[in-house]
Amino acid sequence: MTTIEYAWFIPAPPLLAFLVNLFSGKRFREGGAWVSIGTSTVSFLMSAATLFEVAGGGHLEKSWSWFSIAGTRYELGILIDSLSALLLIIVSGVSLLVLIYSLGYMHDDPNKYRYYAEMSLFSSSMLGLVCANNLLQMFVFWELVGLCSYLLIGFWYHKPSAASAAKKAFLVTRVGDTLLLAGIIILYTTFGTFNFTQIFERLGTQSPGFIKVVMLLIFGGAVGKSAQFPLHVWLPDAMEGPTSVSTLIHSATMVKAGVYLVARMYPAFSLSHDVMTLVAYTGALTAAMAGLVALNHTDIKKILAYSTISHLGFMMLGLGAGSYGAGLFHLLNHSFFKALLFMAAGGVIHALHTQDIRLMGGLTRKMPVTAITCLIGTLALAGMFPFSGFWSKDAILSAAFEHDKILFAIGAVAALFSALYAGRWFLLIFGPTQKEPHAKESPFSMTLPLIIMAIGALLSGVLNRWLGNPFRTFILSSLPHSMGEYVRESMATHEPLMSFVPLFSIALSTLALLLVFIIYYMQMIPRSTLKESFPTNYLQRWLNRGYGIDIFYYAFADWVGGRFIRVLDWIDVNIVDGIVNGVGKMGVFLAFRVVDAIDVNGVDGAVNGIADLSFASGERLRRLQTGVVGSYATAIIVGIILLMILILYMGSHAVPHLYAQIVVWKNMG
Amino acid sequence: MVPQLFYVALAVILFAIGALGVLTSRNAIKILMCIEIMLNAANITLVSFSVYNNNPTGQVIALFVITLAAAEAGIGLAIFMLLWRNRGTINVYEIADMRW
Repeated sequence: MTTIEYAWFIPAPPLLAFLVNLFSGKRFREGGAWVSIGTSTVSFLMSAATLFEVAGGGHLEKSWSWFSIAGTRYELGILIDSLSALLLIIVSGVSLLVLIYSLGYMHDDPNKYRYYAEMSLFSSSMLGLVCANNLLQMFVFWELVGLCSYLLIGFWYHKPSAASAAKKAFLVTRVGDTLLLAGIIILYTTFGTFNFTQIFERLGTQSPGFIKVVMLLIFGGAVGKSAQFPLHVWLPDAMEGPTSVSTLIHSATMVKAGVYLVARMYPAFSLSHDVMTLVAYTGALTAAMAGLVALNHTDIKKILAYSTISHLGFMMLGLGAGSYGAGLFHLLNHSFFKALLFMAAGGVIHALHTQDIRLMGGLTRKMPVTAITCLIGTLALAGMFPFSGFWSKDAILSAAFEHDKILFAIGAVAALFSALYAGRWFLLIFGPTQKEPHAKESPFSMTLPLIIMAIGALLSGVLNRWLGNPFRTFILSSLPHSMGEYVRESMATHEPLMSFVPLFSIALSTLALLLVFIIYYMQMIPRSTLKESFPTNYLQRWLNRGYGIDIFYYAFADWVGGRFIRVLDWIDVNIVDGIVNGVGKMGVFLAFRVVDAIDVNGVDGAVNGIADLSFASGERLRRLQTGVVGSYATAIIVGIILLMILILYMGSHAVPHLYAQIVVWKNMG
Repeated sequence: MVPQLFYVALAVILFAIGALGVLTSRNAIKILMCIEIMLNAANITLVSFSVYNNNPTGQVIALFVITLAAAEAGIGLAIFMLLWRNRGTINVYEIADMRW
């Protein structure tokens, strides 16, 4: 049996868990957690089997007829190549671990069943998204993913901040979704198909301008989902949800969908050099800007959120710079270390009941497992040799270096920020200052996922290098062969470690970590002097607000929306109400004048007239009924006589016949 | 063979006598008797046509008419008897309740 043939089934078990938990999760132990975990295990095992088969050269594309409107057939299809297999294993693996983690993290929540149902739907949608072989189907799952993130970010909807964060996530990504939908519609009306392969085959024949516009629209969708500048504002707010949800959003489902979209449409993106450049610059700028904000934040989760934005930027940079493999390798590694860091952060929040890292410190003794795994995650995030983050980040930087020196510069700055905020984050939480004496280690269900992810973050890069970069061969098999010459594959491994970029990268990270170590661990420079020597107050506030982009959006919405609303109000009061009132007045007039007249004179007249007529005629005709038998008999006989006369004249043959007989009788004598 | 017209003429005469009796009588029994005369006039017509046309149907119908006439006389006389008991008259001009 080949599992790949049944890959369409992979999204089904979590969907089942969603339905079961939604309707009867309350009745199960732990709110149906085990249902979700069980079904996710099935998905994970199937994904793993699929991955092995794809690695062994397996490939599957299959379509079924979905529905047809006006003679056009829409297809439901599945595409399993190395890209979707990679995403399948990431999504199912991370969601399985997050669900196990939730056993501990969500243990005290009264609405667990809803949580597990929505988490299952979330991973099911994401699995469906990466399996789709056409844009329409992908868009359906894309929106489902958006819906689930809305539901889960607003899981504690009774908190106003959570409710508004959920709305914000939904609306901001919706801006991108609209662009994506526009792109899909243009592609469909031009080519008459949603299928990826067919679109790639036919897109090359179009004019460069057309390709540029369409791919920009589609990239708009990726920008919204993957929280790239300037649509990144929703992701920090999304921290209002449970931390486990943040883990899933950040390392597997929601934000990876945008990167996946760019990767999936890579043959199309690579047709336009301008769009690729835009992708790369968007990624690089996002990476640097978000990194700077992360460096300033004090919220344990928001630092990680900005870090995710920054690293998604790295992925976009990798893809845009033509290094398909490096971008996706970073996606994989980022899943490891970001899931790890988020889950660790959740554990810390659970233990300390605060999210402000300035109030934390000295947790290494209290939470040793969390601390050690976190250290691995932090070093991976910082891009230290030889942790996984180094290999993929270095590959991306090499690609950028070959591609465009400015991109490389921005990327290097972003990498520097990465190392700085990662070190600061770790040292403030687990560093030397003893602040929280009451913390204790998380339960096993919460540390087990940490350990597994730490192993991944520790080994994935080294192992890949040691095995001769199988990831590259694997992931490149998802691209058409004709694309070989475009993809500048520079994945750290086939260039020597002793070249400029890797050394520079190592130096950068080491330097940054050293600096952080000096400031936050040895505390050789008091932090107060640092604060005073810098125009930090204003700057920090500006940065903490995410460059004030939110404020700009609000002001813009207020300005445009306010005016728009006033115009609409005027239209409403004067035109719409006018029409409504006019119709109403006309109705009243018709009712009181016209209809009344018709009713009184016409309808009533007819009814009364008929009644009067029958009454009068009855009054006259009843006189006929005398009750005297003689008169009735007279009438009958007169009638009969009249009838007989009538028959005589109207031609009965009886009478002539009788006369004829008399003639015969006379003749007989 | 006697021409059929004679029979028909007899029937007409009888019918006219009966009809005149019905129209002129006030006594209900007289009217009933006149109706019998009219029925018999019709019977004569039926039988004569039956014989002249070699078709027995007319005679059969005449038998039915006789039966009907007997039943009618029975019912009618019963009604008149009740009328006599309750009202003391069988003058049809006086029994004119079913009018306007």
